[in-house]
Amino acid sequence: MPHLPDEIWLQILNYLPPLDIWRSVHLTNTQLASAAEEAMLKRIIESFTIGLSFSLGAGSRHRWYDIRGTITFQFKEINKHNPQYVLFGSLRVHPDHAYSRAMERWKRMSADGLGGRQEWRVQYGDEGPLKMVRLPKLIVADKEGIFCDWKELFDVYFAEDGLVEPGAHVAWNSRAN
Amino acid sequence: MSATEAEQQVKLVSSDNVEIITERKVAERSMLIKNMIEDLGAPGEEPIPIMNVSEAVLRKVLEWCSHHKNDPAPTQDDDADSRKKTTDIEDWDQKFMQVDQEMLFEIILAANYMDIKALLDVGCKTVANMIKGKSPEEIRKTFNIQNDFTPEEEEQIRRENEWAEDR
Repeated sequence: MPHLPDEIWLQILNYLPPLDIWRSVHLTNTQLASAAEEAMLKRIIESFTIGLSFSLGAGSRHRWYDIRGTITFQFKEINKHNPQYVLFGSLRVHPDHAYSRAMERWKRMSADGLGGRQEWRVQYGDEGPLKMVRLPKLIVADKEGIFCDWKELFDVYFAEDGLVEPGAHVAWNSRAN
Repeated sequence: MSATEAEQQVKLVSSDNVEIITERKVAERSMLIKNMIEDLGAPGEEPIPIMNVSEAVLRKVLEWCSHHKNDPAPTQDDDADSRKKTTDIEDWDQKFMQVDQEMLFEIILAANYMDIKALLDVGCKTVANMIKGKSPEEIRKTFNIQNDFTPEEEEQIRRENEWAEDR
């Protein structure tokens, strides 16, 4: 059987959805693992967003009219010094009017430390499902960004039974508790 | 290219030294051949060596070129669109690609070497469609790929997957 060089495999991967690239091609052999990682970093990661959802109400007690906001980070770049990590920045808050309150919450959360049990809202593009996942290796880069281990991100996002948040298409909502 | 030029015959020589005569228009689907003809300046007189492609593969590639000899040159927009559609392969091309895996890979390599972008795309899409939905083990079996992960790497993959599934 003739051997296909890396650049041809990269071209083949252009026609595959990320789930097939990460969960199948990546685990086939070392050549395809390396091609899959290159494809994911060159083309797929830029469409990922990572976010947090939290109550915008005062205090810690949940109420039936509790309003939830989201902070979302978009992919910015691969860390030059530690390429295992990618920077997500360009922080966006939803709803817009909650910006200052959301930033206050974010500053407090990042100062307290996020911890491995924090659930993150991760989505691939607009078409990928919104999943709630834990990213223990994630670290806060500065007040408006986070560093994420990209292999950990793909592993948990493309895991078979990642949790899909109920009403995932709604960016924020009121919840009865 | 004038009508007379298009009908001109060119002589190609495969890697196993077999001469194949074909229409210039057919051969010029390959950018490699097109550039060689332009550089040589006297098509038909000098045989054109296609050094990395055997007779059987070259004949198959020329069959594709002959079927597509009147296709318009692809635009940059076509190029961007083709990246988004995995299963978008014409019926004729799908039948053309129904060959054994060895020939499929040989066609892809020849298309890459001979710089025939549309044929390379069809080949890559065909392989992608064969991979879709398959497990790593099925991909290895389909393409006769050796699993060369070390036992340590296998163990690490297994652990990472277990850990990811738990969350």
